Amino acid sequence: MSVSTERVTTILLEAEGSSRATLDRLLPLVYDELRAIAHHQLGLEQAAETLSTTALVHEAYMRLADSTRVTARGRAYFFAAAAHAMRRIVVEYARRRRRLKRGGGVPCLPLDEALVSGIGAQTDLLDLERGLTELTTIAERAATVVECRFFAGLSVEDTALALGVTDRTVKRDWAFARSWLFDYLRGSRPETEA
Amino acid sequence: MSGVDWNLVAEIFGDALEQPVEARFTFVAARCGDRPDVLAAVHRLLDAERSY
Repeated sequence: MSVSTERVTTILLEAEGSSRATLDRLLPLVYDELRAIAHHQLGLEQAAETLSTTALVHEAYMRLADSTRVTARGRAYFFAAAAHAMRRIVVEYARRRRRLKRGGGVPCLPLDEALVSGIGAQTDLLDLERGLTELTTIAERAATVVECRFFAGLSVEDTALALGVTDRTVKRDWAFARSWLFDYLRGSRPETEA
Repeated sequence: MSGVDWNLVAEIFGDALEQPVEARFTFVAARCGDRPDVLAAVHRLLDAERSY
């Protein structure tokens, strides 16, 4: 087992306290691993359109966590941290592509399509990022729910586990966030009706 | 950013989705009372929810 795997597994096994503290400790380790995997895959395939965020997150989990020891809660924490890291990586990638293309179109990486109905599949990722950033200022938890589901493919139940809330709360946050983002992305923000 | 109370908007929107579709308009109007900014925001979210 590598040093990173031991460190991550230890953090996940201790993950019964504050979810925020756990996520903060996990994030740098998960980010580095995900970034390495993403760059490796992009380098191999030259076709970013084939990059699947959910698949990358699962691969990072297989590499970094000893799944025979980690509990369901620990696993959920890992995926929540990975979702945040994945979002950063995807945005970095989209910005780099935009710079290289000098104003050309930013590719729409395949976020988990089943989850994004109406948002995501045909959405400019940088627009989505702006929307998510703004959503964070008005409904932080709902934005985190979107992050978990869009970027790591977490189920309602695992998102609830990671955030320490009920399934019902996740469903309500998800419904609110999707409608808010949909409205934002179609060019009219809900708060500017005045 | 305008001063819309987003916690209240989210709460009313979530509750509205649990109502039958035909009852939502009346339900939302009753819950928003004299808060036209909240009413407008909830209506926009309901419209978005129908659109995707």
